[in-house]
Amino acid sequence: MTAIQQTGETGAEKEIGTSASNSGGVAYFLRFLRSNPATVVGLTIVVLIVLMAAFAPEIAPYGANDNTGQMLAAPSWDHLFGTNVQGRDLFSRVVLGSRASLGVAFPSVALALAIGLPIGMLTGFIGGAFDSLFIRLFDIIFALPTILFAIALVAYLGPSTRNLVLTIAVLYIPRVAMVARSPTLSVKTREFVLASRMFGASMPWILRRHILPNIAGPILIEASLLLSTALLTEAALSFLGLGIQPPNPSWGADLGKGRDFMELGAYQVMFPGLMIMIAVLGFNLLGDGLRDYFDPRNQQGPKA
Amino acid sequence: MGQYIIRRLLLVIPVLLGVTFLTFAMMRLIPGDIVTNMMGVTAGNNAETRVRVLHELGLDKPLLEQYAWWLGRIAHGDFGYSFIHGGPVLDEILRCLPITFEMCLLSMIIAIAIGVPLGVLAAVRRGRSSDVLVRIFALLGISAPSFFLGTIIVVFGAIYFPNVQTLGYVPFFKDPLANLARMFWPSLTLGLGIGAILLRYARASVIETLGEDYVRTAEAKGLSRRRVIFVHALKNALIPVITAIGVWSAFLIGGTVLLEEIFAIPGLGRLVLGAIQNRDYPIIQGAVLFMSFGVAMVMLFADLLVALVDPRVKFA
Repeated sequence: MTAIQQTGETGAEKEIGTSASNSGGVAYFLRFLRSNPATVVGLTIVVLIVLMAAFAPEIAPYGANDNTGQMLAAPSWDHLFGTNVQGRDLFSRVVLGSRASLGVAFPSVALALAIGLPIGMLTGFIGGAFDSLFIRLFDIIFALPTILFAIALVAYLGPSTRNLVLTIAVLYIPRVAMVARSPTLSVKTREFVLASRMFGASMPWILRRHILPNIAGPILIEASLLLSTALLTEAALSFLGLGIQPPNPSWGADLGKGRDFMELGAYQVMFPGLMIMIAVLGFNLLGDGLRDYFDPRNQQGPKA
Repeated sequence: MGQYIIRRLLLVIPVLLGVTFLTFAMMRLIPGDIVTNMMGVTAGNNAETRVRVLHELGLDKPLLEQYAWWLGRIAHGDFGYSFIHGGPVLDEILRCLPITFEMCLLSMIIAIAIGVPLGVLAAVRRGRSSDVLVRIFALLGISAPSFFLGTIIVVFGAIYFPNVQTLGYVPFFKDPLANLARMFWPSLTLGLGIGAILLRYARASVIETLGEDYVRTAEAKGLSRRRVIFVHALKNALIPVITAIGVWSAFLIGGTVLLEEIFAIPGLGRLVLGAIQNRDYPIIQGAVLFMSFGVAMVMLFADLLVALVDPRVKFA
């Protein structure tokens, strides 16, 4: 993936974010957080992990591949998470590994959003044969065992961050599209959309100005849940040796490698594994919280 | 309902065609030249060998024609031959398939045994401390990666319970008890994750059903709460859970790949991973095809089951 594509996608994400918070207001959101401690935990985890990835080189006491001279050392103050068979500091590797995980999860979900969102809105808006064609196509992808297909695709394409991102994005496009499609179906019949059409507004304009802000909630929820599964998929593939390639630090790969030395101590697998679990938990809690926030039946939420 | 079943059966056809086409098309993504990949550089550059191999693989025809030809061969049970040892792919797959099937079946049983009762319990005791505990369990179950849980079971088993054998496989017909004892651990690992997901579906669905008019009527009639829940509410509440089982079967079947690797079980997943290391593409293709086929069948079966128990489906 090129840098230009990436910035384009994060731009799109920001647009969704602002339009969504407009509907509720900051005060509303803060009040919601006060009565939802689980969401606060999720949000905190996500923010901390993003910060950890952003400042990874500053936080990590050693480089990812520095040989500290101590092999397979147990956790101590010098090496919080111990060292691995090559004498590399596991704490530093876990900190630096956050970049690998987020570096796959965020671009792949952004790419899935960038492609799935327009497809979903268009199929919902246009309807008819165009809609049924895409639904049939998506049915096929839904029937695929995701992890197996990711494994097979990466096996054919060769393991690299780019291929991981592409593979995960392709598998998530239908999920994004389906989430975007159903609210589009109901919003397009509302009066304000009909009025715009009568005034001769173009379809892209209607989609962007009327449909997008109204489907932002479900999309944000889905994005958060997809981030957790994308992270999991990357970790699973790296665990199998098909994702991020050693010696590059990655939670999944370090967990997989640690298995060879597990008799020496559980710390070889515990810390990278716990990091995956905490990160997945964070995105799941955030997704659940967003679902409650945008739920119209939930009286604490904004009036959507 | 007959019409619905026929429509649902017909829907399987495009899905299966799509899945077979994708699996077929994947072969074309292989970087580099297929003949050199197969035969090595020396033989691959021999013009005569090239023509013969391309013809054998059907690669000298247009893409769609190749696909039709390949589909015809598959219909005859010919899934090609392994690049590595030359044996028929189908034999390899049929050897591994029962093992993976057993694991899927056991995991699903464990998932249902965990998810449904706990989900119902949480819904009935909504807001109480048991509900909170069950929901925390569900959240952890969903967030814990199966490959991490599996690794922990293997690690702690090896360190603290050296007498318990968690790794490896014993054929069922050789020693059924030993077979189940080994298969229990990977199935439990996989079943916990899926069980946590089913739990959430069951809880949400039971809560929704308990709020419906007919349940209130049953309660107003003076029926006991136990009778209302178990006789009236559950029958309807569990229908979405059946659908969820179908939808999540893709996740379950895919998950076996990781657990077979961790617990050293010679099923389809290990076959695929081994084939990936050897670049044995026909094996990968065959195994992916079988597993995707399995998912489509479970989804179909779940939908048909729902149609059978839910009279509302025929109006949909």
